[in-house]
Amino acid sequence: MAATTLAEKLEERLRAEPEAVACHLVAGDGSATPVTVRALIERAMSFAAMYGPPSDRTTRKTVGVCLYHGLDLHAAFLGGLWAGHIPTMLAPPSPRMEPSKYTRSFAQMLEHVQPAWLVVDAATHAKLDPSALGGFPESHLVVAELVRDAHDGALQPWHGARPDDVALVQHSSGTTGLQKGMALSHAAVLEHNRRYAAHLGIGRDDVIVSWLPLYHDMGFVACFLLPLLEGIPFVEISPFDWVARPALLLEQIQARRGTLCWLPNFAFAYMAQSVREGQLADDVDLSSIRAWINCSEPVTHASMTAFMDRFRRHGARPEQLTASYAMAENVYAVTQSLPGRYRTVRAERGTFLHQRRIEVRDDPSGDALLFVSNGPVMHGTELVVLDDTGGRLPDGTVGELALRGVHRFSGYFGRDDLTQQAMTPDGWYKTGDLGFVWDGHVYVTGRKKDLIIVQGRNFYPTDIERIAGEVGGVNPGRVVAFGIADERAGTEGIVVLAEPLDSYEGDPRKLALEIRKSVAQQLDCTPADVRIVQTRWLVKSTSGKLARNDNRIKYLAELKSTPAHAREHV
Amino acid sequence: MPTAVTSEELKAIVCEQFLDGDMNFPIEPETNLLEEGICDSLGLVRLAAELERHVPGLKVHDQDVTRDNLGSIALMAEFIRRKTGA
Repeated sequence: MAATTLAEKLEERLRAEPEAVACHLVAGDGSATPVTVRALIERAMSFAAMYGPPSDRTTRKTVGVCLYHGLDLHAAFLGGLWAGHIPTMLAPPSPRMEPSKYTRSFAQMLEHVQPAWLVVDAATHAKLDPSALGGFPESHLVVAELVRDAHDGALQPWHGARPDDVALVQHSSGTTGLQKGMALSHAAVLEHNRRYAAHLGIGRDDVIVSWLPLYHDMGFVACFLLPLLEGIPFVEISPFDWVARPALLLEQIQARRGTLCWLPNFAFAYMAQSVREGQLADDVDLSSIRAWINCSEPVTHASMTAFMDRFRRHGARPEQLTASYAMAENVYAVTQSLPGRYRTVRAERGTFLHQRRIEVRDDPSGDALLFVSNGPVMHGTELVVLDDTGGRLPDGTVGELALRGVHRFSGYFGRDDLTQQAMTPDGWYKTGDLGFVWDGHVYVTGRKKDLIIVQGRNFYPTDIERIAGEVGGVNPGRVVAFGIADERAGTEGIVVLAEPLDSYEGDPRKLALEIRKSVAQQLDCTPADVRIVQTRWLVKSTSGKLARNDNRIKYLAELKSTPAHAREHV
Repeated sequence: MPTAVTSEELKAIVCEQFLDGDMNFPIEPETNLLEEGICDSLGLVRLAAELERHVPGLKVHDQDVTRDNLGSIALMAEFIRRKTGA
């Protein structure tokens, strides 16, 4: 009988091929440790034994896994599934945070996620002040290194779950994002993986190579859960090691004959710019790749082209380029273009900007806008484009993308109110993304909601505005944050505009620096631009709220265009 | 022949890369570029490529790309001096 829960699927694989290599864990120096299916699941059993099973379906608990790259990151999570609980991957706080903010960040995470156990490593534990964790019992703060192998490899998985029960929860980054965990059922995850594998032709001859973090859906589903459950080997590099030496990914593709590689758009640009001459051996060969899959950020042709130009002589070819539109609310993939079918559409600028529709231009010399296709919608998922009143729009017209299908999420974990807000009366999930459909392909053009995506990580303007507003000298209610396209980096940049208190008499640039520092330390991201503007410079909407988009437009017109050498405090 | 690079030139590279070319930005030689939210880890790698382009004779190896070597203008100047003898 086919497995109907994730634990059964793991058990099935353990029985079928215990000595198969599940994954290679790559260290910063490029050495790789193979981990067998048996070794991985037996370590997961150790965590499962420590959690203990629930007494029934109603007493299942959340397990927060907050670890860096390594075997225990996998095992602590899989142990949660094995034991019958509901695991969730959480982003470990940045090591660059100062200890008090580090602990505060954990306290916020615990408040939002409310796990029964939180698994951390010894180094993280040493930095935490347990008394400042908002009453979270210290005994439930689990140090991964102290979880002993206290079993004989015979611990059975908990069999009390039903296919429609919540199997796991995915959180997006950003502190506000933690309030919205995507609850995914066993059935949804299994169905997604089956359909995505069929759509992209993923099979046992494939090898997935990834540096992506597992607290993000692209790394978590495409490069960990899917290959593990479907029996496909994967190679995992720490995000920190990849950032320090992006050539590591390419060397591992050569070493393991990698065939599939998922990357956010910025990574294409970053590797093209940062892998310097002499850093990559001439004989590194990338021709084993079937598909580079660009996902998680708006896909830009410039980033793809820069990547091809840089690595063509290493075997990168345009027919390997593909793109996907994905979100945790659909487990992962909504669309996926196929190798050899990279497609773009050139649209007349004025018609797009003013009439929100596509008028195709064939002439590449004009100032037309170029959009890259994210591919056709996967079987089992339906996608429509909606206008502001919820009416359907025809092909070639820009509107909000909405979807439904067989492997959609169960809802926001414990937040029925948010789930209801996101749905139309006839059951479509409103994604908040803007785009259009053209000739059977989906193109994503922007976002209706204010979310800012930097290097594949989600940031909420409200979080940034709150942090900036707490800086001494800033008028707390007079701060806006928004994203702008950073074409060179192939991602979005965060812009913060703040008005000072009337009583502030210091140097505005120093105040801007204080905001930068505070945002960097608390959210582990570096703003692209921070400006202190004059009192009442910021635009308010008719309802009296600071209007992010209006301020964004004003910033682009009045500040961004100011030559840097002539810029003064405005 | 290796050439010395002034702090002002290094500041210009940092401002060009991360601050939209704003040379009036209050960065001191000791300003910690990562902690002050001016540049991130990806930025350090980009900075290494820029320094190689600007400083004749400088070769930045992978293991050199650290906050201890490139995390401030003063550290960069010291790193370049060590590597080039200039």
